[in-house]
This record gives sequence, structure tokens and C-alpha cells, in this order.
Amino acid sequence: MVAELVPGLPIDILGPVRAEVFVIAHDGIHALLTGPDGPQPWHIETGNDRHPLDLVRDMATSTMAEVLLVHSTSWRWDRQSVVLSFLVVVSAGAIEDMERVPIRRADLARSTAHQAPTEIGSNQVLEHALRHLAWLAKEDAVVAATLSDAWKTELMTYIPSPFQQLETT
Amino acid sequence: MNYKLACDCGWETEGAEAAIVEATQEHGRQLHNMELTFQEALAMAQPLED
Repeated sequence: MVAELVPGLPIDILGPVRAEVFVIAHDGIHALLTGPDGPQPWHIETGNDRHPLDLVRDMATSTMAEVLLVHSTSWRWDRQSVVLSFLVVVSAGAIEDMERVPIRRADLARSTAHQAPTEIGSNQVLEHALRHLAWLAKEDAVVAATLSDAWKTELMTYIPSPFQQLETT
Repeated sequence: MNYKLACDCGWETEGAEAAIVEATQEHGRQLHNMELTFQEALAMAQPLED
């Protein structure tokens, strides 16, 4: 079977693809996990007619106010489908009516040199995503300009220790 | 007969057949980008004892 490449899309897709979205905010004290269906990963079916990032952005902005940032962070194979993970950063004021929990740190799921991890928890996916965001906050001008000072301070704790020390000397 | 329907995300609805199907179709469309048929939505529901 040959996939039909949709104009404008970077890849052709045959199998199922899901988006797993972590909606996060910072209230000045805690980094918070929230979402339109509760403080858990938000799952969205994707089709082959739209770029997944466009779909996630449009669904986030149609469901929540003050969406500040949408960024893809990782992918994995889970339950016979490819899962694309996204961070959606919203302002603290936009989640007052939404259930939320403080984000807890987690160990990363580690691969071997040639094999993916056998099991990956959603807290590990979020940990990886926040480490990625910490790197972007330093390297990407748009992300740096978008995130609040509270976020930048929080994300400093997600930067690996040697780099963190270099930053502060 | 009333039914209860729970989505994997934790969202739940209860009520008459037509009402829970309509609510589920709307939930699927708005939050999960899923288009469910009447039968697909109803297949996820559990009948409630009177």
C-alpha cells in the first residue's frame, strides 16, 4: 500500500497517530498540570489531513483562553500507534476554573543504545518535555520571550546540574 | 432506560439514550477530535438499573 502524500504535510501517514497534550501553567508558586478534561494528558486523535501541531494548537485555542505556547517535545510507540507529545503553556489566569495539580519531578525513561524503553509513564514524558522546554528557554528567543520569569526560574531546576553550574558562575 | 457513559479521559455523562449519545459525540468532537456515530457512542454506554 502506498500512502498518499497530502500537500503541505511533511510526512505521509499510514498508521494511527495520536497527540498527547500536557497543558501546563505557572501560578507564581507552582508549575501546574491541568487540561480541559482534568490534570492529566489530553489525548487527541489526528488524521492525515492536517499537521498535528496545527490541530493541537487549534483545539487548544478553541478550548482554552490565553494559550501562550504550543510545542512538540517527543514521540513514542504506544498501544499500536505513534504518540506525539506536546506541551501547551497557558497563562495562570486561564485555568482558574480548571482542575489542576502541582507537577512532580520524575526519573526519565531510559533507552538502551539500540532499543526504546519498554515502559514509559506519562510523568516521565512530562519530565522529558519540561527538560526540553528548559533548554528552549535558553536557546529559543521566542520561547524565552513568551515564558514568565516564574517559569524561567522553575525551568532552571530542569537543566542538568553541570550546565546549571556553568550558568551561575 | 438511562445509561452511564465514561470516556477514557475521565469525563462521564448519565441520562437517556439520545442525550448521552449527543453529549458524547460533542465531547469527542470538542476534546478528542473524534467523530462518533450514534451506534459507536451507544456501544460505550452501560445501562443503569432503575
